[in-house]
Amino acid sequence: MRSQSLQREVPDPWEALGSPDHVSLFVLRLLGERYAVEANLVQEVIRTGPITRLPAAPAFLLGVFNHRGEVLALMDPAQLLAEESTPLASGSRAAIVQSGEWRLALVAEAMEGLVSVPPSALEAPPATGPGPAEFLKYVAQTRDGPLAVLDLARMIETARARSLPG
Amino acid sequence: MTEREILLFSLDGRRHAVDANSVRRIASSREPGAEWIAASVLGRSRVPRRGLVIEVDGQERTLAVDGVEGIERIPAENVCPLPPFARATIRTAGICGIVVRGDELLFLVDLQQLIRESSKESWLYAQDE
Repeated sequence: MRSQSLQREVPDPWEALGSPDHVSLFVLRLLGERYAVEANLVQEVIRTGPITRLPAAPAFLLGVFNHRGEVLALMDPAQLLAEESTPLASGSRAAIVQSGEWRLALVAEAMEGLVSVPPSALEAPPATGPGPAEFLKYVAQTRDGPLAVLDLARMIETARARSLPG
Repeated sequence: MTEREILLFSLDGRRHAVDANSVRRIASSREPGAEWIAASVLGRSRVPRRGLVIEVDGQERTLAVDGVEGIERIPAENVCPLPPFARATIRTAGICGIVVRGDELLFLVDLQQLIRESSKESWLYAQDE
């Protein structure tokens, strides 16, 4: 059982989920910067195991892998954000996310974990245009530095649109 | 337990699977003048000594492969559809699923689609020379 003193020193960030005065974010490192997705979209952080690459796949689709009997697609967000590759090795960490009907895994340079920020800390992203800003939902200043919150649904829709023939 | 019969073949250094019922026969050598499809989205046959013969739009077509390993019965639950995000973004309809075979993931190939794409798009198509 967790001690009272530990609870005071290290508040459980999951308790902030659903709290009206905090937004829980899952922080990951991409392109050398801190990005985040809304924590309620992240279901699990795993090690990927061997990746099976797919033919005729766009650069952001790294392949598929077997996770406890479920075959999942692995996406590299850095490819969509900046057409750069995240270094990948067997056993790399990935975050399994669910956005609407889409369940997939995201790779990152590092998984930092959960942070909780007040809604007032979230600001609109800079004017959109080609590049990372296109995929941002919010930006925020946190104790550990600036954070860019990804719009996961938009990323997935853009990935689909870019894959249409023609 | 429901089972499926898959035919295992190798092409361009990788093993793939196809629904055994979709293959009409296996050709062992090229007849004079016969046209085999030697390259597709799965790659190019390195040693095209075998051909998977199927019917596409009422015509027999043959995909050259490097080898045919045989037919295997596997539990139906070991065949899964492509993950939705992969299905939505991959630029071929020639892969219709994934076969989980131990630690190995094989592509379940839709030969008809693969051959239709090979015929339509020149970058997927090359005649065996």
